[in-house]
Amino acid sequence: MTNPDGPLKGIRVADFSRVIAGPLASMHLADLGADVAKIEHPAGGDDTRGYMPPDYRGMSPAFLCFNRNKRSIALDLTVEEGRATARALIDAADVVIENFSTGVMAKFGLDYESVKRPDLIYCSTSAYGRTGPFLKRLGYDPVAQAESGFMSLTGHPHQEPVRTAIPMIDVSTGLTGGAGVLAALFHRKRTGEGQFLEVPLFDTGFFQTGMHAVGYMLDGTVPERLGNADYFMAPVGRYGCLDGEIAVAVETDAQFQALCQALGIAARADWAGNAGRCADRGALDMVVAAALEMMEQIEALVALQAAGVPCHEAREIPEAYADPAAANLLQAIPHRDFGVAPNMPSPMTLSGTPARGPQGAPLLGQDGEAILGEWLGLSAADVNAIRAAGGMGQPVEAA
Amino acid sequence: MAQILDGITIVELATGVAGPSATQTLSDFGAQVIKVEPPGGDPVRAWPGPRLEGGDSAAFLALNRNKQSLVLDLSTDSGRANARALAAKADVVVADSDLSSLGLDYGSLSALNQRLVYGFIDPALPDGSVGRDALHQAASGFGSINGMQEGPPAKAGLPIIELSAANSLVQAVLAALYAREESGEGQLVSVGLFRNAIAMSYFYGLAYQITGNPPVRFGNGSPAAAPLGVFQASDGPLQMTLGGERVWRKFAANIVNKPEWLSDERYATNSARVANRDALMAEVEAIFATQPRDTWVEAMRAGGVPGGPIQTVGEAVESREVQERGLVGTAPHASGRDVPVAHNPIRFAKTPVRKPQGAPLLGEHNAAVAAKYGLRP
Repeated sequence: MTNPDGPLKGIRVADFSRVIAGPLASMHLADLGADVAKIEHPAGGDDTRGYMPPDYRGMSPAFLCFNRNKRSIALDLTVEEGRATARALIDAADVVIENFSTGVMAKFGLDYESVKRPDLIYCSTSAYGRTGPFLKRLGYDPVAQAESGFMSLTGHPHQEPVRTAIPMIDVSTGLTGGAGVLAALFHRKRTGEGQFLEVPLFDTGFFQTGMHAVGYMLDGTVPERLGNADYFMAPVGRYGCLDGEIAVAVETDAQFQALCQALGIAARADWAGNAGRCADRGALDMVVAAALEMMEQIEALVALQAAGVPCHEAREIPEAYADPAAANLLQAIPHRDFGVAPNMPSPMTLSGTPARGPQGAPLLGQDGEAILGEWLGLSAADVNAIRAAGGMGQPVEAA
Repeated sequence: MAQILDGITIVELATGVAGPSATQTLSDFGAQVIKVEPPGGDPVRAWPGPRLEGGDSAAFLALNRNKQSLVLDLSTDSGRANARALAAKADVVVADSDLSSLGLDYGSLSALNQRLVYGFIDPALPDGSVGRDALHQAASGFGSINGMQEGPPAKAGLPIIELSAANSLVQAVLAALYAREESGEGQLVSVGLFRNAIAMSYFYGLAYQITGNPPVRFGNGSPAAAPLGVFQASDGPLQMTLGGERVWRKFAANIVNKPEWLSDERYATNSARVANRDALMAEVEAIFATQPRDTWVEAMRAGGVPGGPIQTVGEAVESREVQERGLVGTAPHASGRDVPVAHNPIRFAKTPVRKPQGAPLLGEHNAAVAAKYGLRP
């Protein structure tokens, strides 16, 4: 039996989060069918709305790609009527998500202790935790990449470490937060019990390095940077051919033998096993590179694929997106103000309870009346009174 | 204390990073994971680098805690029959390859078990072949956007496409279990590694769709803001990022003691600073070079400016942040010695994640699982 509205139909999420980690968590919940009310400050809203250029009809790429399927309400939490409205939304919600600095939600009387009730799920994606010695420290992805050891693993040997251009710790925190909320919803479904949960940015970044952190704790090994190679298999890398690049990723000894045969490489005896190849990665890499630089890209791919060696054309974004397999994932989605809007796909597909038909990210404050009407039963006059008191902003018009 | 997935049984038919990482997180939430391994074991056990003496790799330990190991030879009739017998009683199967030729795909198994949730990490590449993290970073363009502007691309050093796919698969499996509470039916849920690699290019990919301008590598800077990135203090590198104008004002006035920058029209707004990036960066670099890293980092933390030292994995493990937040620990292991653990970052107030048990030896639970599920040799 399929449910075209998604498995979380009927779940209300009061989403106070901004920028990336929290909004990504709530976007996945929205994709799964939850009704997400994005609560934004009337003066400009979520910071990512301003991450331009470029823009698509006045909306930034960052806002568009982390706020699909949500509705927006602009509340001024520094005004009593704004706070009271936010509190009423929390009281009507199943899930709260927030990622302010520690103390901000408490200042507004909207922290977990102030709003808790037995069935409420409240998720904080904090920087370094809502408790403990670092609770006041601000958190941003590049700093978390630097401090957690994550960044030390990306970049070329003997060069400065480089962060991932996409803020992958923000992203990992958002994905982990989404998983945490889903787990908490499953628990509530079975027991009726809600709870507070926390996914700190720093902790999540450090956890990503686990394979290497455990290694360090075993024997003190500190991994160096390997460019496009792999820590645990060789040869792996991007190699230049006469007319383009290919990526090769040998996983087994048999594949390595096949690679040598296909490329005419005379392998050293100590390259027969993966450990020997990894120990001599640099020299091996030069031999593979020397063989491939004499070949056309298509010739190399055909030869390696025929030999069963994992490989693929190595691309930059434009070549990748020209591939029909990518273009199929990158189709524009409906947008109520613009007709359509560009989109990045959800990573997930659910055969039995598909993600709901997508809707592009909302304009600031566009859904205030609708949300307050549906969630709280407020009339137009009630909403106007909140607005007149300065608690709620005007909807922004489409550019 | 009880965990969220107490009573949920997961059969893992996967190796490498993505599938095992997903089931490990579900095991942290309380699920019982039976890791089905070929007679030679998950190849990750043999990965080079740090390892238990005479035993499994650090990577294996880091991806397989809390699990039971069961050896089944799926090339034999009895191996496949036993795998099907397990799946018939399981709540979840997680697979990372097309198992239809073995009769272990969703269609075959759902016929035995209507409640089964089948989580699939799809390794297919656009050209029809299959591959792991590095090939998906290369095929999708994701791996091309990191690196210095003047240099070659550098893929993410961690297998982040597989690790993030694991997180999304955890979400999809949990959503399917949630839906099953009402419908009584399982379903196939999947995360394609290529699909995920495309998704992970987020605003770079979206900006390219809007403008048609190829993304450029920007090293540790940003096309959208300045000043930020990596700076050399007198004794080591640090990272600084400025999230918004309020932080910029704190930085100029209080950290580098340059209040005049706030009224300097070259630097007054973010777009002005982006336009005058080179001049501003040179000024900031010169100032940072005058003091040790800790001095700057302490000043930035006290002054509300996000910044921190760039640490190796070893420095991170030893850091106050990791140690005092309790992010590492140990777990009992069948070898008799405790093994190190990096803990799951989620903190549930009422249903804390499971106290970790070290990753299993190959076939450690053959007898126990066979007895419990009535498997035949």
